[in-house]
Amino acid sequence: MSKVSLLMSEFKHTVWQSIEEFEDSKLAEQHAQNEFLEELPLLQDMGSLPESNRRDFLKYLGFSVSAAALAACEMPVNKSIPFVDRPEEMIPGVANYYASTFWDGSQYCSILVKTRDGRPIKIEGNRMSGITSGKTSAIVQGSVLGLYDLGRIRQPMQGKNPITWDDADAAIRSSLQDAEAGGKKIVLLSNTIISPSTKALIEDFKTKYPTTEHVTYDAVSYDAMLDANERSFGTRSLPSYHFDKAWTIVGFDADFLGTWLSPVEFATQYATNRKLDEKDPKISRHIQFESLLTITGASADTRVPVAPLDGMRALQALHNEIASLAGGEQIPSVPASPEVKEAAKELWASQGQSIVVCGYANPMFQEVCNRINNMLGNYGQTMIPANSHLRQGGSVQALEEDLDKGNVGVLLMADCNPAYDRPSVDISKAAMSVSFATSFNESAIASTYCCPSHHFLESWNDAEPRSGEYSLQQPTIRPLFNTRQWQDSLLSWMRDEAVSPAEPALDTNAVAVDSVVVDSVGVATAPTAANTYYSYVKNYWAVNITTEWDSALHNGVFILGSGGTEAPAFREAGALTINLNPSSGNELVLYQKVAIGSGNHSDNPWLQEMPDPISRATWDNYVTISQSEAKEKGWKLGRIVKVTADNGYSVELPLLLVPGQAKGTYGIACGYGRAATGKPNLDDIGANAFGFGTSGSIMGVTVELTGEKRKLAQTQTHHVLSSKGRLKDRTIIREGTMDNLDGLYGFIKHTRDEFKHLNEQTIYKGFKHKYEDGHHWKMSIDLGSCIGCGACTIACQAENNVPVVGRREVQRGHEMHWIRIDRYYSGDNTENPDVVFQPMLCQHCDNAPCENVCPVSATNHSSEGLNQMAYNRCVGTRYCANNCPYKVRRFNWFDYLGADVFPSNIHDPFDMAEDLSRMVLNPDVTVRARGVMEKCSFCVQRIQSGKLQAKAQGRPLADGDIETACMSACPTHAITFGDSNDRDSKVNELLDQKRNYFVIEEVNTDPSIGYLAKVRNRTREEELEQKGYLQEHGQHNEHHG
Amino acid sequence: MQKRVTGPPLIGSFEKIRDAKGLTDDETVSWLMKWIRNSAAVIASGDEYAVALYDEYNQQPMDAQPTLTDDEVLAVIDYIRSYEPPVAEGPAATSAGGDAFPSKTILLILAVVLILIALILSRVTNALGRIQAEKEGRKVAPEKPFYQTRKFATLVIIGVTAVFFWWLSTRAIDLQRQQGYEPDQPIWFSHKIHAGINQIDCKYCHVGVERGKQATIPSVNICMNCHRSIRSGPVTGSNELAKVFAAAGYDTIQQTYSLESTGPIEWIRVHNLPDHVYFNHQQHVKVGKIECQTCHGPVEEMDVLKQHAPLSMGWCMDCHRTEDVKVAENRLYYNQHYEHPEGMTVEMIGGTECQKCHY
Repeated sequence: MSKVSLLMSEFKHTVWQSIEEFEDSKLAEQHAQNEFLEELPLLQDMGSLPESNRRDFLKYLGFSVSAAALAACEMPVNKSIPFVDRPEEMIPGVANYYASTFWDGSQYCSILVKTRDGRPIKIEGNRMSGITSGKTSAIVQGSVLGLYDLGRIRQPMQGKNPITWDDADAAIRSSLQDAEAGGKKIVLLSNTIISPSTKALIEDFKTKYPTTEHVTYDAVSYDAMLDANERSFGTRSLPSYHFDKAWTIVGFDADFLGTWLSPVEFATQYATNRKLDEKDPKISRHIQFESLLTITGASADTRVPVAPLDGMRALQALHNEIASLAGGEQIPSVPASPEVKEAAKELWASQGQSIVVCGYANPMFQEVCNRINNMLGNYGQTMIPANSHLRQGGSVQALEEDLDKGNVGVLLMADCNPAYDRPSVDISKAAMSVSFATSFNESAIASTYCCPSHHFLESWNDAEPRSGEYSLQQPTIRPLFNTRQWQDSLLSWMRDEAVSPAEPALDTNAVAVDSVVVDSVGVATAPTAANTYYSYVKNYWAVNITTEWDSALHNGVFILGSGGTEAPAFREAGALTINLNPSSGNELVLYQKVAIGSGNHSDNPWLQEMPDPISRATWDNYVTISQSEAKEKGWKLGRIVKVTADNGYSVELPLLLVPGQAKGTYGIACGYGRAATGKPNLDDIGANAFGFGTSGSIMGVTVELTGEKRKLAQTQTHHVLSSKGRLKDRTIIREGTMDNLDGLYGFIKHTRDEFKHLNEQTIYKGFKHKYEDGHHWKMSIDLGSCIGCGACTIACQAENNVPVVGRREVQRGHEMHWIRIDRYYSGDNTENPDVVFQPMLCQHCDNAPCENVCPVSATNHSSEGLNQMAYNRCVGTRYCANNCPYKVRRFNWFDYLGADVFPSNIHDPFDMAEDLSRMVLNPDVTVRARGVMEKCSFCVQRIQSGKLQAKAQGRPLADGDIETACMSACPTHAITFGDSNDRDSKVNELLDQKRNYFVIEEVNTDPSIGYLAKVRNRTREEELEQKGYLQEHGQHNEHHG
Repeated sequence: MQKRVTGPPLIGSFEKIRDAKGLTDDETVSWLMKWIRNSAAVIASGDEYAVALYDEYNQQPMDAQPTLTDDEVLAVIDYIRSYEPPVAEGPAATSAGGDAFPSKTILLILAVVLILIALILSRVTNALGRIQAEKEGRKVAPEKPFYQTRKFATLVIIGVTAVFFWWLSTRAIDLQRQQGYEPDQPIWFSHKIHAGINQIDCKYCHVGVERGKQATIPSVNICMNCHRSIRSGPVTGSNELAKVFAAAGYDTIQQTYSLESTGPIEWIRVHNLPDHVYFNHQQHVKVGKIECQTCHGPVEEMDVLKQHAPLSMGWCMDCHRTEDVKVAENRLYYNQHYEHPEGMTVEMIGGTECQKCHY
């Protein structure tokens, strides 16, 4: 056995994408061979077409020819309507960017809003922010669609009847006064508010109406963590985390890269120490104990699947291990498992440079976690106590009691949806309820009055995500509808008189959609009167924060400094009394999906159609179950089960099998089952899990089959590069370990040399195009950094007008995403397999197989190395898609966005082709009609505009001038794009790394996207054991030797 | 040369001066030398004719030209003396005569001759066949006139179909094209008056042309820069300008603006491109340094704006194939293509590739 073959066997892992594939590769092979999942034609969707024959064909032909000839006679008269007085900063056709802030009650992000001709069309990250560092998430990227949501409430309403603001104000004002006079409570219910101005305003409101009470809760509750921190630090607030300073990270059921607390911030920080510098190889070590398979666990070096109950025990054991090292007090615990001992050892070795986080909804364990961090000396280093303002919510129990007793005169609901996520709060028991919802939701429907607030892109506000770190939110468009920001509503009700008409009309001015003209940017026409929320914020800033309003507004962020307040010291608040009930059977784990969050984005079609990073399922929630447990029980994918909890609540959802989930756990995502989004097709997707609880796990649920089944819309088995049997021999995923980097480099070099040799055996010698003149665009993707969060997918969707197709079409493999994130399991281990995410997009092959087969040359190569797609030339043969080995070409089976001249071609279940929704489209990118192929263009519109900008300034193009949408959204800098003819470009540096390889390089496509192999910070032995090779190591070697 | 103040009416001026002063040709030339080099000195010397001329033109001094050489002055005098007004050119009658015989015509004649030969030959074979048949005693069908034959019918059908498809394809190619489009605008605005007679730079009003994708139709405030002072036009008086004032909310008597009564002017767009074409003015005007007239035609001569070019892809391509990139003038091009500093067409750097305009 030569040395080389030893090398080969070690790095040639089995990679697989689905359980079916793992168990029955023949079936999966068949599936993979079938390019189009369903047979043609798609007649069932076109209603009943009459039987046709040759004569009919000729008739239709004649008819369409004459129709076309007639249509030619009618040229539409286009109008060109200039401004009356053009604002200086606005040039039609040139985008403006405004700094603003995204805060939806759970995720904070400092953003730049790209507006074209007065319409916000894209969100970018704000690089001046020290918190989110110019990066975004899928939810942030998708939020721009919410502005043009057809489910938005367009005017104030009493019940279901539209009323005027004056009537609504008069009625609510008198109710407030009555409640005040009658000694009844006025309750302002909201999710966490991070705006200091709004908090000050609420205090002013309380002065005006002293019986006012402000109740804060978080849809997905962080009560346990807040309570524990109150015990540890004396203030009920969370610490801020600095994963960029941590070299050992241990997580317990905390999906901090996907959904926990502040995922954009944490993912950005986390990636800092996960980048492998080949000259000085050092990356952080991440151990994750978790019940469900999350993207955080998938990124971890060592992942230990444990049910929540066992996880809590492991946390206790970890505490004792550390305590024995630190000489601290022991707590009752079970003996430590080897993984826990290992974790304790490593944590102790990096004191002050580690983080232990836990997501258990139990204050005792949160406190155990705090004590561990304290023993490790992490406070003040990687964690700043009482510094984060992102969660402040408490319990709503007192409110429930007040409602039951009839003590609540007026219930105001701002930025929250209790009727959905707190079903125990009965809104109807308040004498009067007022919802400030922007779009229709359950609470708006149930409340007496609805006073719709602006969308956040139409609003003024501020935010203080961390103590002393502020950011501003500014309107980027004039309000589309007759809405009023809820803070302005409060201000209005604080006045005794009705609003005088002399007040500047920005807020009360109804602007119908069809009359939105290009001069309608809100910034230019900011309200100036002293009694608007805008002036309130400005005044608050002048008094409390800074007088440099203009520069703060321009930058979007402002840092006041520490303010001299020292972080509170850790204290051990008495002995820990830990009551762990013995396991009583099945544990239900409530989790959030990366794209849906706690449910306020579940009416967003972009986010609904984004495949879940792990399950690759769209348009549904489901019950996840360990694959081996399902196998034991004989349960199959898609079988509907009824899950019933002790509190009597039950849901019926299909099963989804996940390898790597802890046995005995069932996972259900929150945020689904919304009943009143204002858009019938987006109602009742999945089932509401908030009935079970608000976070964490629920013991002792019963799960039983109902005998029904439902087909899930999973994208996993679509567009596969190959099936299991062959994947092993194909260059798709490359992975290695930190202690054997040379082995990995050697393996990559060996295979690449072999491919190079093979690829040189050509009869067309000397044909190779070198692209030496001009630019040659290339990309590098770091599999070690990619966490699979999907921000790139949604950023691409927003940038490139990628349509939404809906559940039925996804089931048929017709999803349109230009960039997908393939999730591969690696190894022969189905209990706890390794996971690798691989963003897959058009590879812009310099020897592209798609180009050769196009009969009309609609796809061809540019001199800059781009694989071009000319939509108006494409006749839709789909030969190219069939010939693409990467499966990245997407065919428009229908007209999804109203681009076609023939109205019958449209397929628009979510009203994305309506005028309002179409306002989000990027005018620089063609909206594709039915019957054409499309795919990633490397954001050619950005390339062109970046080049043009440089040309107009007469300077050479600089590295970093051009960023693709996926690259600029990626929170972990996993994607780098650039000109490889620029020798000093970052992309060149990355493509020259020893870890770099090209996917299926052996088929001689000469792709332009290089991937950096994934490296896990663990030992070779652990890797082999993890992959399930160790017990059969000898046999394995023999097999390949 | 015949109009006043484009210089004095110059034609015949030499003779006029010679006769008025009673000088010889040579003396006139030497006087003119002095006059042209420094007219002020001649006037100051009290020359009668010079002073009269000076007064006639409201005492506008003529710039002194001391640097002119004798030869140059003589050349000017010579030009004036020998000047003949240009004759309006008639149709270029002689141009066709000397040319080579157009090849198309030859081909056409050839085709007709060949068709005739083919017809004759076919008649001949037909006749020969009949004779042969008669000789052999076979029965012969009575001869049909040629227009009743199958062959003829087939030819006619093929011909008609060919013509139909030719017509259809040319119409289809012309779909959505509107060269010569000249719609009535809501305001009778004349580019001829603004850009032609008054020589206002295109970029003064079309401010976006160097900064972005669109040249931009000027906003009303740009009109008001001048029309606050200019209240009536030479052709339409104050009728059309009243619409501009109404759009700007300008009260000509009070000289004030009112925000309430403003309203944009709804111009009819003349140059329309299909949605799948990306065109950027900045690239062409600022970077490529292309004159506006190259694509938009002699706008300065148009009273009503008319689409000059077909705006078809072939038309774009023609220019991209021949126009040189200004390599030396732009660092971006220079750095990328330093090997071809000049004579590099747009096509050579990928200017005819699909995704330069379609994405």
